Amino acid sequence: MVMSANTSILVVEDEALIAMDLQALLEEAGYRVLGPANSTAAAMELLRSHNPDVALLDVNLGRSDVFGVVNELVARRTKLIFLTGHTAQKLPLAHRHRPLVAKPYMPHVLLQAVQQVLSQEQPASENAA
Amino acid sequence: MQETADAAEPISSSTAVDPPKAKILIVDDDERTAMAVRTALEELGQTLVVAHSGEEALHRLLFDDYAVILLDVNMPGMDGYEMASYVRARKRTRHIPIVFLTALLRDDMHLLQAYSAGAVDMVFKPVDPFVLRSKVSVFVDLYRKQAEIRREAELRHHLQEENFRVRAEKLTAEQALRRSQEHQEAMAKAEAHQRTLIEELNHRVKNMLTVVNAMARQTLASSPSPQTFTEKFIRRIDALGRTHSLLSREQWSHVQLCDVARDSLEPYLLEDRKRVAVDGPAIGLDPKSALALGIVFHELATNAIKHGSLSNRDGKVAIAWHPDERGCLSLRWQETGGPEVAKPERSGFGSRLIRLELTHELDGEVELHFDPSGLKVEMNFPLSSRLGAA
Repeated sequence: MVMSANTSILVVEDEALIAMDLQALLEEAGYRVLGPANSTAAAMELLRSHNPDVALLDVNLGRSDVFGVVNELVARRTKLIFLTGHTAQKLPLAHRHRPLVAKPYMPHVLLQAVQQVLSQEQPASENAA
Repeated sequence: MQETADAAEPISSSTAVDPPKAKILIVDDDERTAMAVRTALEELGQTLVVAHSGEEALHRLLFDDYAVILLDVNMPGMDGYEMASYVRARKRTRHIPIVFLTALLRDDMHLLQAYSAGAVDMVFKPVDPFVLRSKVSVFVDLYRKQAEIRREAELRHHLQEENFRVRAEKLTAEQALRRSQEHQEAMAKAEAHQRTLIEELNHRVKNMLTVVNAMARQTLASSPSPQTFTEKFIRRIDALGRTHSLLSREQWSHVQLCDVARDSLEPYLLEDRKRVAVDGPAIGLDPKSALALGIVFHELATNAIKHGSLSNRDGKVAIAWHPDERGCLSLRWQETGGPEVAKPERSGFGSRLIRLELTHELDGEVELHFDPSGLKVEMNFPLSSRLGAA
């Protein structure tokens, strides 16, 4: 069991109600929430002064997508979880192997995914795409 | 009257097809002379036609083309000169060389008359077969060469026409192919477009279900009883539904801010215009902004009905907006005439949702002023990307 105290999770989600729900779910589980950010620009701004352990990323952000912030997170070896209404096939090939939680999500599935990435060994090396 | 020599035709070197035989018209009223001429010419191997008068000869000329006419000058009725003038006068026969056969003296008078009638040559009777054959064979050769040239020209013309026809067919086939390709491309495009639309629809449905889930969980967290949860939840979903209906009516393009405000309020609040006033210039909103503001108006109205100026009989709400010089929209919700307002001890789900819709969805800001005389909400958000064709 991974301790969640002081584990910080960056949430990137442009839909206000979903962002609010994610924040509530994660905080109730004892995590610190960074954000929620509604765009890659807002996420990058947060990353200037914070270094989250996990990033929970909505793929579609209005007119753009989240991949603008993914390279930075991969370079930092932040653990990623994608959150999307699309299937994994819609993700770029380079990211299809990463954990994905489907929308609409069940709270316990979401929290399990967070637990799972936290319990994984830090990869020895992963090249930034 | 017509005989065909059965001598073998020389084989043309230029084509595999033998050139047609030349026809020679012999015009003489004297049977013996006609026979002598025919005998002399038989070995040329051409078609020999004998006419015994000028009239008969002209009749012959109506039906066939001839390489040369051997014409007796002195005939009863129409004589050679007269007949020659007819031959020369007609367009179809004008080109046929005429060789006069004459027993007359070779004096200048006769020669002049003969040549002016259109003769190209003269042969004197009694006919010398060798001389006659030599002269006629020149015209036969000339005729056959001309015929050959004509035939080649026709062949060339035919080939050219065939070439044009084949090219036209090729062009037609290419056009048909292109149309078919264009049709297939259009079909493929339409199918791709449809796939995109279905994917987009799937995504929107999943997103909306997620929003509904979030709405349910967050409403539940702030509800003291199942009854209040059901009431609040259903009203929130209903408000979302009304904004969706408005967007559907406008084909999910741009909608007017005043319509979003009116549609997200309970219908009875608008029946009595004196209670809720909506005032501002035409502002077009994109669907995302419209949905966000629909939620905001619903949350504010619900609060006003429960705790604010719409909870008594006289209170009022004024919704007013104006674009400012920075390209932002200032939007105010002002309550008056309600019970005295006290600042809540902690912010409820409604006010948190309003804040998040403004900051998260609209990249704007919001201030809630709990003035004792009435709640005042000042909202401000950039219009640049949200202003539609107003």
